[in-house]
Amino acid sequence: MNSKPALEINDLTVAYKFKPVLWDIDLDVPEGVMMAIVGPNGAGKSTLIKSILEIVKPIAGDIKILGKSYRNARSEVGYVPQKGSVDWDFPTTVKDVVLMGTYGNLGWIRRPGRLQKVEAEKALKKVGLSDFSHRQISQLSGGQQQRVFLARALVQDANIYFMDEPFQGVDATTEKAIINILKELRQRGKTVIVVHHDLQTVTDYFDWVTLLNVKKIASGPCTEVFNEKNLELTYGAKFTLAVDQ
Amino acid sequence: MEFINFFIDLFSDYTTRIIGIGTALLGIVSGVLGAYATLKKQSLLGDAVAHAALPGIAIAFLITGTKNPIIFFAGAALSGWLATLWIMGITRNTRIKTDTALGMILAVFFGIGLVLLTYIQKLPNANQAGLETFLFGQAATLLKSDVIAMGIIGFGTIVIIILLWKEFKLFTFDPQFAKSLGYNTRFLDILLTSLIVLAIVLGLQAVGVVLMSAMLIAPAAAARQWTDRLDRMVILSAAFGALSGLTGTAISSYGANISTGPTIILSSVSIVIFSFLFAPGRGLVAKFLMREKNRRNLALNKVISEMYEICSSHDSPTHQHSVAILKTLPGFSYRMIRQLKEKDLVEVDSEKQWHMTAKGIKAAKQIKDLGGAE
Repeated sequence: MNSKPALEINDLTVAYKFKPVLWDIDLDVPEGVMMAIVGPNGAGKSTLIKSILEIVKPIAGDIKILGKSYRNARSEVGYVPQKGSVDWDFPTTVKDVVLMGTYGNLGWIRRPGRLQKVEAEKALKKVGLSDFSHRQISQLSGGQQQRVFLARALVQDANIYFMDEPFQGVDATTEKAIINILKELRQRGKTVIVVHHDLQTVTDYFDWVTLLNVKKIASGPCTEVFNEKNLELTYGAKFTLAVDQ
Repeated sequence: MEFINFFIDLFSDYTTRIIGIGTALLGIVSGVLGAYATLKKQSLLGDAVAHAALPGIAIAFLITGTKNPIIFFAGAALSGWLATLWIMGITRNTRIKTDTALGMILAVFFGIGLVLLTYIQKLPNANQAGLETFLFGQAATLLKSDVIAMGIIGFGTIVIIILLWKEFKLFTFDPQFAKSLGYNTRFLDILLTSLIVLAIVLGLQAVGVVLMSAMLIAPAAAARQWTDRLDRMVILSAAFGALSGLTGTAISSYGANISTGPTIILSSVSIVIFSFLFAPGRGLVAKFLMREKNRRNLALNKVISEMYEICSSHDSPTHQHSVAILKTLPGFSYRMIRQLKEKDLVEVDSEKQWHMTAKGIKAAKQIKDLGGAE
């Protein structure tokens, strides 16, 4: 693992209507790791990703992705938003949604062509949805929706991926399929940053972890920072009872 | 044929033809933009904009003292825009939610508009007559020049929609992802909202402030029933809009002195009702039939597996059983026996004795493998 930072955050503070959501975050994530962001509800996990992608405007702070500002790193970034952030009854097909992953490189007005369509088919095959290409998206199950979003991010062909709860509402088989794809991304040298909820699987799936609760509690290799003390600091004292089973 | 002739006769009149073309154009523009407004869950914004345009029209008249449509149009657009900005500002900067902000701004602007309108009507000046037609619309006041202006604006709108097709689709479906890709979503939002405001203001003269929002929502809602593709939905919505414009004009000009606004809206609402009932897939009738079919299939499968149970309790598969014992099965009806016979799954002889065919046994085994239900 080389030590060049994939993500470098200094003094990041974000507030929604006067209420601080993220407070003075400093974060360094080396290239090529697979990192989980964990923390209780309202800890600012999604907001952290959204500020990195400049969807949310921070009050203060400086963020560098692969050593560059977001504007310059954009074509190297892939994003899987929360599944619930869109209306799945929207009149469009699976393939169309996946094609949206190519819109970033296409820029204004240019339409996706044959090349982009081939990429979309490849990504759909990878997530096991080739047969669903022409399905209307409302006919998908939760797990399939999640895989459509993953395919869209794969089409972005990025070097660093941000995923907001990609395992939310999926069954065990789909979870395994998704994690295999993520591991393959890491093997190809990509950095993968995932908002994650299931503390039981953190050490199995990820090699790096950030514990977050408005402030950064800890960040580093799982083996060093994913321990009871930090979990208690993140989730509160009552928490230990819930995990030790 | 008679109906078509009636239409041809009706539109052979110059004035009616101008009005027909005008309202059809209006239907196309508001149909196209209505598709985006409903998908963005902004259909109510249209209502607020339409009502908020009234004070703009009144003030434009008070300042200029003329009834020039272009000046009305500018006044309406300006106050509609102002209301939209205000609504967006309130939702962004306070804890007040969109629906509340919409309701407040709509009421305030419309109230001011009505006050100004009554004030204008009391002015000692004969020129003000006709301003109140903006409430319910009077397509008869459309002139050729108005229709040409509508045509130009409509054409411009459609060119923008086609050029930025991919951007508007992405922005309407997933604005956050659009932003992460580097698209200027603020610009797209303002552009799309401006086009919606424009479409609404365009229709005020013909349809009126009170009903204009339906012109935006109804064709889109109807179109959504028939298709699951955005492109088809937008085209259908435009077609429904044009159709209701033409039908509304026809009705209004046939039964003299009926305001066009209500007749156009009633036409488009008829299309909506028809679509909600009869569209394949999403329509209520289709859904009902589908559910009935599923229910019957399920019941039939259940009876087949029960029959199979009865058969397998005997050594020979051709052992005859009485039809009477089937009556005890839950959900059994004699119609089922007929269906099973037609499908060649069961044979029944003249003495009302039945046995399952080889095909029937195979079918029963398949159902069992699927866990009893399809």
